[in-house]
Amino acid sequence: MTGWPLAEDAPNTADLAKCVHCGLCVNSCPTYAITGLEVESPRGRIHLARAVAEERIPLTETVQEHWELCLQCRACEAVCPSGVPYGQIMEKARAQLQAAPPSKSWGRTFRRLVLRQVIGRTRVLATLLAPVRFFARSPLRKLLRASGLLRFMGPIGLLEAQLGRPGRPFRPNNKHEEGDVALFTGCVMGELFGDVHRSTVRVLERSGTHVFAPRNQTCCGALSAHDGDLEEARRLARLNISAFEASSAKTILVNAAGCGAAMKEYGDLLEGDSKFAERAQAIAAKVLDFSEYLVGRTLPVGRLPAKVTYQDACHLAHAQGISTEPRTLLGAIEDCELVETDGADLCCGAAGIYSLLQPAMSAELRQRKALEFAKHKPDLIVTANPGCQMQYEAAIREAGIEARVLHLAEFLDEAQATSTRSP
Amino acid sequence: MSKVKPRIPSVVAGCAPESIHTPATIPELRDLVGDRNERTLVPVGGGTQLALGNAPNRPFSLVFLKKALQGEVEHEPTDLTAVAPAGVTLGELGAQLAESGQCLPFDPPHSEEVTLGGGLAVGIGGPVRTRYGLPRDFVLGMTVLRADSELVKAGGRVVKNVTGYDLMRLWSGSLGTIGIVTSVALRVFPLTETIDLQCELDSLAAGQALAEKFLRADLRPELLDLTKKKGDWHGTLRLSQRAVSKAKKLAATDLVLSSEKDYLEVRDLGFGEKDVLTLRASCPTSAIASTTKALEKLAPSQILVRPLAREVRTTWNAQSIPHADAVAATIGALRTELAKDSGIVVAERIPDEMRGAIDTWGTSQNFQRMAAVKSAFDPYNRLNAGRFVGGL
Amino acid sequence: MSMSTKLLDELRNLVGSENLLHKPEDLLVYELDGTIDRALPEAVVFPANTEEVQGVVHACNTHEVPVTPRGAGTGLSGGAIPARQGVIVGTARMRRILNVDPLERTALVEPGAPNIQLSEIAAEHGLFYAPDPSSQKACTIGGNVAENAGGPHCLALGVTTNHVVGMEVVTASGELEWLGSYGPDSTGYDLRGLFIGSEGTLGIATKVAVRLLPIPETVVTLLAIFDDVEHASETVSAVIGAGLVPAALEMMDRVTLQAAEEGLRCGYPPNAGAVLLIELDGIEELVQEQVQEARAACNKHGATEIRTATEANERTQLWKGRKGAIGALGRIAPNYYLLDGVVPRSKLVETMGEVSRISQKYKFPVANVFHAGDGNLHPCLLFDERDEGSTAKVLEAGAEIMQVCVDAGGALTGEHGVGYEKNRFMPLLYSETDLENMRRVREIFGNSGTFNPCKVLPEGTGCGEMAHQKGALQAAGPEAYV
Repeated sequence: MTGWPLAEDAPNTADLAKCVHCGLCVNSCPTYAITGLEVESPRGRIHLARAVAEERIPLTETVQEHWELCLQCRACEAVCPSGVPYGQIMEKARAQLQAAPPSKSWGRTFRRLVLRQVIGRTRVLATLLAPVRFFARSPLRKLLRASGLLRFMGPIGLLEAQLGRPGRPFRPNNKHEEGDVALFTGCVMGELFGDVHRSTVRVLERSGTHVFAPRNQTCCGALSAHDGDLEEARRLARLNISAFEASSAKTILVNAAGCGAAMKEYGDLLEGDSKFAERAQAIAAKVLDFSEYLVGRTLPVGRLPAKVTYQDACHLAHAQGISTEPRTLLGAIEDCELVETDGADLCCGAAGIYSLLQPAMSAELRQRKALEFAKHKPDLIVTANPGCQMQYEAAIREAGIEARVLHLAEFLDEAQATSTRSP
Repeated sequence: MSKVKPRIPSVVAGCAPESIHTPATIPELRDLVGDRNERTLVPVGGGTQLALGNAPNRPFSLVFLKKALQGEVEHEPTDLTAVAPAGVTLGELGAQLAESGQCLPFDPPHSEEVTLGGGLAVGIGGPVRTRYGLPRDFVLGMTVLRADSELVKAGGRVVKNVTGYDLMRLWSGSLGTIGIVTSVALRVFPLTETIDLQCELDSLAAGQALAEKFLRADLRPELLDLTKKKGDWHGTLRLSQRAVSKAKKLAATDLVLSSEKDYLEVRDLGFGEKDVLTLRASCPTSAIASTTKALEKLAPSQILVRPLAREVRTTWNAQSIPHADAVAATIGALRTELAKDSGIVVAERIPDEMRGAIDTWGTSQNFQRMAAVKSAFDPYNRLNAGRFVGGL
Repeated sequence: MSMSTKLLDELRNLVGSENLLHKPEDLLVYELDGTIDRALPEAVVFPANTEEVQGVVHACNTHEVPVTPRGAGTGLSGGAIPARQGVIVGTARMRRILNVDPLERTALVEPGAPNIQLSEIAAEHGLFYAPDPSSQKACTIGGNVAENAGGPHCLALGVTTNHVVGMEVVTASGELEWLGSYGPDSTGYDLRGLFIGSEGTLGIATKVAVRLLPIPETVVTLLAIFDDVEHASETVSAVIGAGLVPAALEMMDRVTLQAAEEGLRCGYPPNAGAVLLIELDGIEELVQEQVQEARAACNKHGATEIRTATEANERTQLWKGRKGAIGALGRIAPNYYLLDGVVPRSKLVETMGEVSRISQKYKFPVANVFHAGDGNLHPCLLFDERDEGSTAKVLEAGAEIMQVCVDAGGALTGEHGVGYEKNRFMPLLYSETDLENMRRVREIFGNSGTFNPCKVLPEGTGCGEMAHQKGALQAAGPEAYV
């Protein structure tokens, strides 16, 4: 008995049965917080999945819409006492949409094309993002902003708002390198946030850890997995597993929350792959978030006189359970005033490519952040994921405040550098 | 427990009964209630609050309940519960609970004489309501003789229970207008080591500030009453022994030991033999000062403010009593003023000659609903007809 | 779907089309709350304010369509289940905290506001809202009022009715009325007290005035570990016997501890047979003395370990296992049937024995969580609804447990409410006369039978039995639902 069109990637019946519909999750869910609708809550989405599985209802467009509004932030998973693996359920439920009745299938096909042929191909991505980097620092951008035209350009306008000032890219070295600790460079992260990687390397060096970026690594596959393209996600996972196996790395450090969460779960993703299942587990066990690794190590003194707020990246706080570590690292910096905003652990609405797919809901969540920023007026907004950083770039503009958005690594790097310059 | 039983008056709000009954058993009481006639029954427990309420609106019989509602008190110390017949007095009940180191923190005026059923029907608390709340909060279950002489129950005898509608709260404070309480299951409390203290205060405001300070410092006073005697404000307090040193540090005034007599004075204030007019206002904290001030203009013989329970009680003796019109005007003005914040003024004692000018209860915005309550449970006005809010 | 399009149009006009759900997929998720019973509504509406609530109730009454109020749907007695279908009135759009008055120590809240939010906002003024059901992160104040909700901390402080001073309600007949006051006293019958705990059968609270308490100066939480429930129970009696009324006194048994440990990593020893949580609060001087007494009681009755926490985050850690215990059972079984019996505290051990006998008889493992201080037990029978007939069987086992509680001098429900789930069992506790007497309460509020039907009191025919059959048989397959 199953109503799933793609039986092989159907949500696990036992996982669905784990939900005892106690409802403790609903208020942690950003889309429920905004809509107040049970169908836009984790419990509601799981109940719909059960109903589809039990063939009580077909996989209608309405069902699809409710699932697509999910941010997959996994805040619900963090508060679920029953241990319902919501993230996995939703990835698999989304996978079903690929085979579900047509209506919006052109959109999905296009999305899949972009994810497969651009994001998942390092060289293509590099080629396409080069002009973006150029644009970001060109006078053309200023001109465009001043013209006010961006407001009428839909997703392009949004992307412009989210785009910070990307530095040089940071890509794995093609030469073979040796070392115990490897850095995962990722896709967009490496191309648009090269500075974050360089800061990460410096901060680690200062704490006595040399990192290297093994060659042949690629996108982690999280974006595809969240979109339900598990096939592509598995392809990328296999590439990464092989790349890191070929290196000498004992620890794999990740500084993008979404990638870290995905890689820690490679074991589940490749569960059914006889050749890769165990290898995936082994690689996943080596993955650590940058802040998780750094806490407890001896760091040089850092100083940064500024008002700072830390905003949790969902896939760090909820998926990986890491929320105190970054705050501990921030707290150790001298002269910096740490302010906690309301809803720091609430999704910012970036959620991978969600801000493009569900602009209204995404904007609503971004505005909540903007209101908090406007209230507290921080100088620095620190987070731990590229998507979130982009969303906060747009949020500070909405808040009308002068603030910089930094990755935790950039923040620490700057604080340590400031400190060494002026003892 | 007092040894001399006071004589229970037999006149209700200046009206004499057509007959007086003292049933000896519950079956006899049922027969009496079931005997449908034109008269309404005025139930009497200990008789200490017989003056509360309007005059019956038809010929009436008094029914003395104490005798019929006697029996064993089943006290379960480990459960902190007791089931008691409604005719037992709070004095008797307290003595029995104390044997196991427990108590019922319900101390209305003249508690010793108040029967459990009567006390609950009247529903007013005494000084320790500051800490423990109103008597309805202790009721776990009740058996009630309805006006059609059916015995009905609600609740149970366990300390936490939401099985069925909470009729106990409806019955508590209903002045016997929708049923006669026959048996009550109660939540009881451990006796604690406390100390009674008193202090002099510069003003009412100083007393209110003291109360607020103690509350915020988590001292959890069991009682904190402010009285005005001969122009000066005094505080009467009961605190846990462990809280005393902290209280002394916090108080801007000297706290000295006080006696049982001081406690009884605040407990019974307004219900002495000489008190002919007694008013109780219940209002928000922000209105306590203005309410007290308005009442002071009528030069009461005594004033009591229970700041944490938000209660002001004033009383007049025969010498000090102002003109009925002045009293009625003040009550009317206060009721209008306090209604904004759902405050109330109840005339707990009214001299017979003022009854025409003063209504005990004032109006209620829920009168229609209350009338529906009355007609659901006592459609033929068998019980205490006319004595409650709006003549219910 | 039999609902008239005319009513749907009226509802749409009242609340706006975006606040009216009627597609089958959207209705589906409103067929359940936190427990076993299920029934599908025909429409769900989300009014934004009192006037809209009133309009919706009027419209439904005119069309004689059943109305069922719903908060967050975390209830554990099927209270939000639309037993006779009809319209669900959700309070999700009415969730503002309208004001907090630190001087009066009161707050005015809309019914859809989550319980936890009230305490969070009150904390800015050094105050808190006492009733803390385990679902407090999600459950709403309106739902709390309906169920007269309790929580671990109601042992010393009382339940919802002790903390709600008044409320604005739209009655079952659609009238608007304020019940109670902003202060402790009001004149006349305590309609407020009658409404609280009436499980949404008398009306919908649209504004709720609550009393707030000052945050205690010192709070100490003790977590004592025992080899078995008997020793823990003896300790409970000893603590009460010593004259202490702790702020909370909670117990968990072995099965629960294992689930909680697995799910929440609370650090319980693997072989613990029972855990007791004792929380004491007040001024430092008093609390320290009470902590000594409580520790002595634990030690005397065989505690193998006692942990103490004073700081808020450490206390949260000790509470973590308890707050998440019920949900954590999802880790060891796909379904549980959670009961809510109450017995006199002195009958706790005896009742436990009976519960375990019933669990063995029906072959459903049982996990126990108790508010030990007030004799409120929550046996959870673990089962898998996908096993044919298991739901019906587990309900039968539940009925036996309820009988045991009643026989011990207890009650059917301590805090979850009678709801849809237990109304059949009311005759165990009350005579026909008592029930008829309670039924009169509905007339007082103009409930002619379509306002939240089939809750609290047993119904002769119609919904009750059939729907329960449905609930019991739902494991049989999809056709049992629709």
